[in-house]
Amino acid sequence: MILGIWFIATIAKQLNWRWCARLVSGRIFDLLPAWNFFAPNPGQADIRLVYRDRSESEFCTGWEEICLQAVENRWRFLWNPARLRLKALIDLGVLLCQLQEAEKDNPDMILFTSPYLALLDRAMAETRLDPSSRSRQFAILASRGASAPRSLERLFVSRWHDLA
Amino acid sequence: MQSSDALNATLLIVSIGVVVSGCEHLALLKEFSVGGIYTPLLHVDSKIFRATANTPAGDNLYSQKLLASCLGVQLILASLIISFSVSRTVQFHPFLLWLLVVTCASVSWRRKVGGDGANQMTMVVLTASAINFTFQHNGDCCRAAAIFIAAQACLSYLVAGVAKTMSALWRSGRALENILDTNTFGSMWMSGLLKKSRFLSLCLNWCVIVGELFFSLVIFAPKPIRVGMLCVGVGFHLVNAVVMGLNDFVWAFVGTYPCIYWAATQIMSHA
Repeated sequence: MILGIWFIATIAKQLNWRWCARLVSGRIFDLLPAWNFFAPNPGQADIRLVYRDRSESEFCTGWEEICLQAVENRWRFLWNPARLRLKALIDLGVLLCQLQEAEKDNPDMILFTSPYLALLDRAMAETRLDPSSRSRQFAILASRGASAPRSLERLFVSRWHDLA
Repeated sequence: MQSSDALNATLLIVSIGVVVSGCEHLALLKEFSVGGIYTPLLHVDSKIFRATANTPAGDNLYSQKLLASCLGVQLILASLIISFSVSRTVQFHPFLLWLLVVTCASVSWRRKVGGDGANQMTMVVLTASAINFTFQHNGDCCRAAAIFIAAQACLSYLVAGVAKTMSALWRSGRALENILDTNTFGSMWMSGLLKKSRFLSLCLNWCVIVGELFFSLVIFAPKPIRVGMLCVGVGFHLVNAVVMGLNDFVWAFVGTYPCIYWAATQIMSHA
């Protein structure tokens, strides 16, 4: 009976019925899965987290990348912890873009959301790019192409935040 | 083959995946501290986080130490299940399985993002197995758990196939070429191969779509075809692991195949 109800609930989740979404907003610890892998809109770009610093004289450094993309590793079919890091970046980047769209009438609200704060926290953990750096800004880029030349699209740029 | 044999085999394979995944999480433990990609600030939207912020309880709840402990327990339990399943000399208590379910769920909760279909299937299998072992005196429960796991696996392939059929990008034959042209899930040599041959790209796309759409029919297939289809499934996941780095899918999804095989034999024997 429990398993039967659970299976029916899983089917309902796949059909994306509104009543189901109202009842269950998440996946409940992965027990109510979504089985649409890489579809209908598969990810076709790498999500990159970059940051730059600014000094008191308004001089801005160049953009530096964080969470560098993993080099193709012949052993990743067995052992691939890098996948966890990169998947987190993808999920946070996508969530941030969705929030940016949802809050376009009130953009300040995005500063208080978990994806923004998590990415900000990550960016602020990096060392200063210049001794005179006083504030930092991060950005989310989408890059297409596994090798150069790549095309870059800017998805999100944060506010400037003071460095400690 | 009994349903209990199928469930044991499924649990064994999935537990190997749990061990690999647990070790991968431990390798990235520093990412779960402040300043990491899995910072505790991921939970800033939650009531628990706001209620426990700046308290010792809150610090402990989202700490690396607690997560490492969960992962340690997860690894020990999964290893015990593997050794019990292989030796089949000792029946392990359902409490062990429920504890594994709780630790895996805790890790999933703490991680919050970065999960994938393999994590979901692993949780489904572990929870269904825990339910089975809780009511193991009831033979119907064992059969129900095996059927449930087989049904979830078949549903996953069917939904994936339908979602791809609905996608213009997949139907055009360009999806794989674009997905593989990334550093995250890609492979430069495979991407280059697909870009050179439009025909190969189109064929592979449609092979994936058709394969996923009709994989569920394995339940109704006679034995030689059934074995062939399951072997193709194993090959599919191995290729994904090599080309895309989706190593966790091998354990989670191939792990369900003993239950699929058993469910199919039951259907064919009653047909």
